[in-house]
Amino acid sequence: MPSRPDLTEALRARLQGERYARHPLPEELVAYHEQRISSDEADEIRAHLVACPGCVAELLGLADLSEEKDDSGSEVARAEMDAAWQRQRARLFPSPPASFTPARKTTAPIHPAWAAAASLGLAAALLAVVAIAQWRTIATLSQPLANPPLVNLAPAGSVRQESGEASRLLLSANAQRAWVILNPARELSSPSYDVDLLDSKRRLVLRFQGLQPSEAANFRLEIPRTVLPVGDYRILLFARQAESRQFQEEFDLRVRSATSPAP
Amino acid sequence: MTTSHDDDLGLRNILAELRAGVGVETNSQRVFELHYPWVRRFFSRLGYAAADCEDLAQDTLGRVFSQLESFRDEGSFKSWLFAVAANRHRNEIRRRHREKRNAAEVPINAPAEDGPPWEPPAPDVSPAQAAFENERREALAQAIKELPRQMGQVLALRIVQDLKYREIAAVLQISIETVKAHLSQARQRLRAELGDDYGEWVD
Repeated sequence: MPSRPDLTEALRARLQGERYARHPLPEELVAYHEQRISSDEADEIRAHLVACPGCVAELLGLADLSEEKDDSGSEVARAEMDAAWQRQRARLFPSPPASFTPARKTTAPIHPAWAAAASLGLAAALLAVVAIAQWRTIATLSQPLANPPLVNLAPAGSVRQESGEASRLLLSANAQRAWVILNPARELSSPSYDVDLLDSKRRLVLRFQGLQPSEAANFRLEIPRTVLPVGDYRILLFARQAESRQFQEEFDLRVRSATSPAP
Repeated sequence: MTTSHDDDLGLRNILAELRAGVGVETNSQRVFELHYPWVRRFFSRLGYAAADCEDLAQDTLGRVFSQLESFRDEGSFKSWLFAVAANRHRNEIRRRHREKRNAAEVPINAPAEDGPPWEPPAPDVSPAQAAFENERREALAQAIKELPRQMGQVLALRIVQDLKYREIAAVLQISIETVKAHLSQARQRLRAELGDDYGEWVD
């Protein structure tokens, strides 16, 4: 009577001659799963998968990820998810140590031994203050910049933009980038958009291509500070259609330093 | 009901805000809750114990947040997430192999083990019976070798890796109907060439 192990052994013997030279990289598995590789490459990966349960498990995990919709928490109990998030949160946003509270002053006579102890304590406290200050500096530098300067723009000539203040972007000295939000008045029906940022002499400073409007029907531009010296700018919005662009609207932007008085 | 495109657009907006430093904690929590279930399930599928799955999932998502600047918007976030998770898994496997290899070192003056490993006695079969069994195994090996390529791959995934039809279809990028057809034809071929006994293992 034949046994299943006999069949398994025969199949393994057949697979011996078809091994792929190495395990495909995760990126190659992605390309295989998305069918973005040649048929020869796909055949090689397939031959490896048939002989490698480890890579099959990875590929099936990828297929699982590609199929699922937004099911946050659907298979993880709420309490467990909260606990998992708190654990990750502690990694991302570590709590600073308790702040130092200096000893209270006293006018009563001080025993020499106590004075020595107080001196040592004060020295230790000063060292702690320096360490905390350095830690805060490092922590600040290592965290993403919170709340960069932001301005919401309506199209030039609109009622909202009559006030020069509405188009003003104030840049502080330590700001590394700024958010400029364009709020078009016209309906957005094109598949994608371009945005040109021009300086006061109509020279192109920056171009964004292939943009998609957000759910709020606006465009959020992240602009490095290095391309935004103080001055007046014009922003042009274009709709992309095949190989051409069609002008839609324009916006005024006035960049000013946060430390200088506003004009 | 949102479409997959809307989901991607919503996620891209969240990621863009994260990179810009806007709503960091809220958006980080949203990204975490969207993807933690899959990441943990990924490591579970790979055979890790439950506690290890949680640790590896936390580590993977931590790397995702720290490497967010390197994610390019034109690619799929899920594909990038998979690559981070798969690389974490492979690194873990290498680490465990190293530990196992290091732990297997034995001092030169360690006492010898107690004799050779025990083996069960050979079954009491006649030389004629042993020759007959060898001939059947060779016939089986030859029949398997002659199966068409894709049919042989389907059979291997079913018998050797014990995959479900849906999984075989996903691995080989064929339909479930094709998987069933291959298994049915393989059963018929083996029965025709080797007799009814062999076909029963192909289901």
